[in-house]
Amino acid sequence: MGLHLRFVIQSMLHRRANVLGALVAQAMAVTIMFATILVLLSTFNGPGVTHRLTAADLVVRVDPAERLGVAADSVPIGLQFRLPATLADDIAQIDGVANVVRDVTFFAQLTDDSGQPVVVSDDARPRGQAWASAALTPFVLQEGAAPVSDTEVVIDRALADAGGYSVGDDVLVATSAAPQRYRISGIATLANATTDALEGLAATFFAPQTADALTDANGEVDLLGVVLHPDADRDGVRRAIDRIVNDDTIDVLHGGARGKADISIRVDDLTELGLVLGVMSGFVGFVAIFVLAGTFSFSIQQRQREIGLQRAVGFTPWQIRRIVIVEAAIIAVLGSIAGVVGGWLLARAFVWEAIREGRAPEGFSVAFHLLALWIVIGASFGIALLAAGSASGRAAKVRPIEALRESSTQRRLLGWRRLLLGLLFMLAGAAAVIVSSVAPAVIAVVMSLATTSALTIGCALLGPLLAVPFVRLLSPLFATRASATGELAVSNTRRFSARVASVASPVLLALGFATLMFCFVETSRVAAVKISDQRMTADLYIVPTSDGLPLAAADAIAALDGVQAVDAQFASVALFSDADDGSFYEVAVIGVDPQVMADTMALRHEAGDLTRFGPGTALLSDFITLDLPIDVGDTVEFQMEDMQPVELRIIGEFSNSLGTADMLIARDDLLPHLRDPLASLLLVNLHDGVDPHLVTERIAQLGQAGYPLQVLTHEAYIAGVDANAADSWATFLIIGGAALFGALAVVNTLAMSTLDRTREFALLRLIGATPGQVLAMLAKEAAMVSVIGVALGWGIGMLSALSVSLGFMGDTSALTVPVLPVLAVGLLAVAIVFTATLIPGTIALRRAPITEIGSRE
Amino acid sequence: MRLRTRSAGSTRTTPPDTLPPALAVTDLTRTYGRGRQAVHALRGVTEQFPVGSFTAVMGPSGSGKSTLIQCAAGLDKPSTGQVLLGDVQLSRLKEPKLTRTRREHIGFIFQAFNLLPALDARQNIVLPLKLAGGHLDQAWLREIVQRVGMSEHLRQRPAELSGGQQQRVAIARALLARPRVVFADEPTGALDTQTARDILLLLRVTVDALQQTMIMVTHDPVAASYADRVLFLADGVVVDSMLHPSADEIAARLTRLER
Repeated sequence: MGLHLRFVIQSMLHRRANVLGALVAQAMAVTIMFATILVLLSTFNGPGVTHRLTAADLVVRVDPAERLGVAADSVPIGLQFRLPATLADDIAQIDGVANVVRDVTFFAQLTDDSGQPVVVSDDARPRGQAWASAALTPFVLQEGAAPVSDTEVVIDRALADAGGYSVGDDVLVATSAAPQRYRISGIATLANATTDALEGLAATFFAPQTADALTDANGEVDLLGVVLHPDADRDGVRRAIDRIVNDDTIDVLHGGARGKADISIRVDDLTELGLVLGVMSGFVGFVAIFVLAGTFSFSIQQRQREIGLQRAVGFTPWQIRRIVIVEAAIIAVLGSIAGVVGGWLLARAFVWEAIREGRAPEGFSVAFHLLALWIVIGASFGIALLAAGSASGRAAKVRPIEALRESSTQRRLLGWRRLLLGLLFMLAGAAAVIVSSVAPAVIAVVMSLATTSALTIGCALLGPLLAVPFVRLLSPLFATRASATGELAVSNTRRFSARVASVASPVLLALGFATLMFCFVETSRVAAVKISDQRMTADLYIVPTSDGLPLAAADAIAALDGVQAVDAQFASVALFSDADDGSFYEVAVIGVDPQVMADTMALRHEAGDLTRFGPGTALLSDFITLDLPIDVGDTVEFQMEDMQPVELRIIGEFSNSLGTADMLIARDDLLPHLRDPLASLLLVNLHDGVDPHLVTERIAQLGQAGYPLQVLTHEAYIAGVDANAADSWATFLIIGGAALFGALAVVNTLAMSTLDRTREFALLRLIGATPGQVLAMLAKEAAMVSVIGVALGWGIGMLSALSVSLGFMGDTSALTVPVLPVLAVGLLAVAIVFTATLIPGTIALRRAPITEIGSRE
Repeated sequence: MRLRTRSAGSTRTTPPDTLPPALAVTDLTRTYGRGRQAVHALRGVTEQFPVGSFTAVMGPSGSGKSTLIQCAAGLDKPSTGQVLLGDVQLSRLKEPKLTRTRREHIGFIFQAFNLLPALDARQNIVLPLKLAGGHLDQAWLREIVQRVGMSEHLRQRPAELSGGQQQRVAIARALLARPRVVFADEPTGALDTQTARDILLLLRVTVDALQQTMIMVTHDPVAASYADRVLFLADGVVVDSMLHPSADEIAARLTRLER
């Protein structure tokens, strides 16, 4: 074995360009995988900082993942778990505990005289709380006094500055109850921090009894903040609390971990980020396997002569395999080391960008996870050995003489196994397009990715075959009688279609995904607009300008002249537990007014009877009935956002849930389970003949009563759907990451392939080609590779976008190809191909031709 | 062991001096590196290669054979001295003029990897002419191809040809442009004895019939014995030359040289 290793290392040093290519591919794959997994695992840790809970030495709260028995990235956003407030009394008895704050927060939005919300910053979450909670941060009074009466509030400095308030002023505060006028009894500021930290809080403090009335917490709290005596033993108190609580699903946080419970930090952003990264890591894995397998088989292809020689001097096929596999292992080790370092840096850069984009909370940072290291190293070795193993199997079969023959051309276009496999993948891609036209909309997203992936693999496998018609089509353009370089380029491309395919594959991979990215975003936006346009039939649409609107707003509007009915829609989540395996599924729910809904929303009927919808029943989207063992007519138990069970009879099924929830239930069934009931949309129907402008004005006046709302016409509302759908950071992140990876692979493969041809270039130089002529030949080959890669990439991307349209709409009407971006990525791909061909070409031409052409390889 | 009957043994005859030489090198030196690490590959070589002559260049490894050929063919610049190809001062030319001169006036035949695998035999033969943008003389092409005996195989690709056939194609390619000089670098090094003999005979006949000047680097005394003259190099200088030697004489001389 020792001898083997030395031999392998010598052989690797001899083929530097080839080995470097594989190494770069491996390092790239590890870099992206490691960065993704590292950030993903870091999101589980929470933001790692806290602003609001700085003064609470320990924070006691329910761990939602533990409570649900799932991984941290599977916790549905919006679920709320509370603790019994009585725990506070027991904890207060522990030695060293100075104070236990029972903390409950709720929506409380200051509005100015014109009804506009007072905004501290875009990220701020306007929260109300009892004055006692001020001790958690700690907030201290800067002016005035603590709130005592029902009509007194203390606001924080940032809010006071944003709204221009001072002590003694009257303010309107919107909550989940009707807006109320309060008098500012004091202004609070942070005792020991800069005002920057205030921005995420937007805190309004109420007197204890007012806060109690507004939260309706039933003797429960969001969290308990424990303040210790200065000399107390923190770990001792923590253990004591654990003993008292005696519940594994309740954890006691300290230090940066307190951020998980900090409502002023957008922890949900992290959960969402984790969700996106979870998808991305799977996706990156796919691309990594694709690129690595391609690189390895390419590297083996380049070594035919060496392997032939080894066979000729008596190496057995098994020894050749072992050499190739040992080499792959060495590359995996070196690539992993480089990739882990690169991945760490990439993860940090990514998080920095995510924070800047407002996708991750301020203060969130990447933590090093040993688990990520093991996952990546395992995957890296697995992929490298798998790819090398399969490629070496083929290589070892090479007959010695055949591989040694001078100027060997490729023997045949495709092996039958590769042909068969390629056709299978193409069929799978086609099937994915067809399936998406009949399956529910949500599947379309998955289907479009499946289409891209299957077609990409199919094209890569059938590449040598697919390249032929392209070359035939293009050759008249290049191979004119006068152009020797054109003729050379065409002959090279035609004779070495396997090489052309190896080089074009990453091009079509990158471009396929990039095209899909743009088409996907546009197509789903158009689909969302079209579907909303058809579904929403109300006369006026009222959207909140803050977190939401209280039910009282609906009542106030319904009482207005000319208004026939108002449907206030409340968004929430429900859990469905699968009795078989104990797993649960998260379903997005909206609570509506069944009577009014018939006039405001036109659902596309799929099964059951949509008209019999009322209290105690539910309407489900076809996605849910497909995904879960639920059918129309069943009576099913769901757990609502407060974890209380509700039994609902499924009365009907609708399709096209894009832009709305997957389950509709009666508002009255939902509201009792909401902690802070806020409507996300009010749909208004007018009496016949009423001028909508008149009513719009009347509703706008309600704004001045403290409801943070905005009135939209149908057209304006649809335009808003448009704007929301266009916010596709996640899509850009996932698919863009794959495209970027593909682009790196293009550069890598092209550089490997071009540097491998030094002998050929030397020969050309010696028989009279100028360096310019060699480069001209390379440029023409690059042009053909570009055309093949771009045409197939565009084709794949657009076909995948077609499945998005088919999935959402059932037809092609939403298919939108944003011409400029798609053209731009195409041009970018061409530019990359040319650069990655001509620069290595220039380098290869620098060597003295006569030394290259010598008998050594 | 006498391999051929044509040999004039060691009788020394002077080559015809009436014409100016096809190639002349004067005081050629080539030094790689500087100072103490300097390697003197050529230490002053002056030699003439008359039109229609067939010269073999021999010498142990490191004797400067390859450097001499590279400088003479314009692939490497001599440190001092001149290379005169016909009436062109090759050592003074710069790219791309140098490449143009080379493809018009110099042909190459190598030991291996002579042909572009993607092109068929005919395409390989006419490629230099096409690269030069020159006019193809069909009758001349036919004649050349016939001479090398490849008329039947023009549409075949290198992979479908034997090693000897590939060398014949390479010879045809080298001759097509009617070059002043053809350089052959170990042209039979990768061939079996019988095929090698066929190729050497082809070179010999070509020199005689077409008055083609040819310079061949080889370490094989048998191959060298096909030449009119054999130059022996050692340590960057020409130490000896033989006219029409036999293979045995060459071998004996080489043995002394390497001692």
